[in-house]
Amino acid sequence: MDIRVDGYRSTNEDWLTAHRIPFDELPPITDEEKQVAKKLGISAEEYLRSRYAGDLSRKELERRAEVVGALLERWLIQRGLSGTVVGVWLKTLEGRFRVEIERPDGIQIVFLKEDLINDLLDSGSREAQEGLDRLLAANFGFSEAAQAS
Amino acid sequence: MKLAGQKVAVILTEDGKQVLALASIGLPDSHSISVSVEESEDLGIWIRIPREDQMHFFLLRWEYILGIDLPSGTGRLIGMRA
Repeated sequence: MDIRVDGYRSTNEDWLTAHRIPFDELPPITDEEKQVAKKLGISAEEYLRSRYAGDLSRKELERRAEVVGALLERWLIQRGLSGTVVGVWLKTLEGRFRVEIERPDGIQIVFLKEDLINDLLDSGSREAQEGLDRLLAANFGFSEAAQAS
Repeated sequence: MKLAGQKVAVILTEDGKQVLALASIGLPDSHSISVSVEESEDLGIWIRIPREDQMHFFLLRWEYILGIDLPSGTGRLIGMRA
């Protein structure tokens, strides 16, 4: 399964960690990154701290993307559908996951709102679970689910 | 557009620059300032400010913002799993 996360979104905890770490402990800046920092109008240090914060948060976002893939695969098995999740792409600016599923008749794309997944993973919301189930059912052609929503 | 958690370049009005100066937030010489967004809402964007060993949130109201520039990001592919 390919996992991809767009952007450099950071949580405030990771941002604070990145601003507390001594400058000399940050990963070194490359020449290419220096150019990017210059274009953005920020110092090399500011660029490095932002990048570090983004790297810290990225691990959790990638983990969530993997969880989304596993959730979908489990849902397919439970519904007796054949298909394999081949990629999960979190588009942070759009706030949604783009999931690619390989099915016997070709690739199917499903979009899931990040808020829905966060509600499910952070609070175990029954509503989110039902919402996800309805959404997937509608995407995979279960007409009763489409009518219910 | 979900701005929360993103690093963005904000182009400010002259009043906006004064507001940040009053809040002791250093302004670069360039026409825009790079900020980390905690959250955006109807009133404006809450930005993260490092102060001593703490993080502060500062509300930058929309009326002081002329534009926002942010890279869409190309992402990185990880973890090819069979």
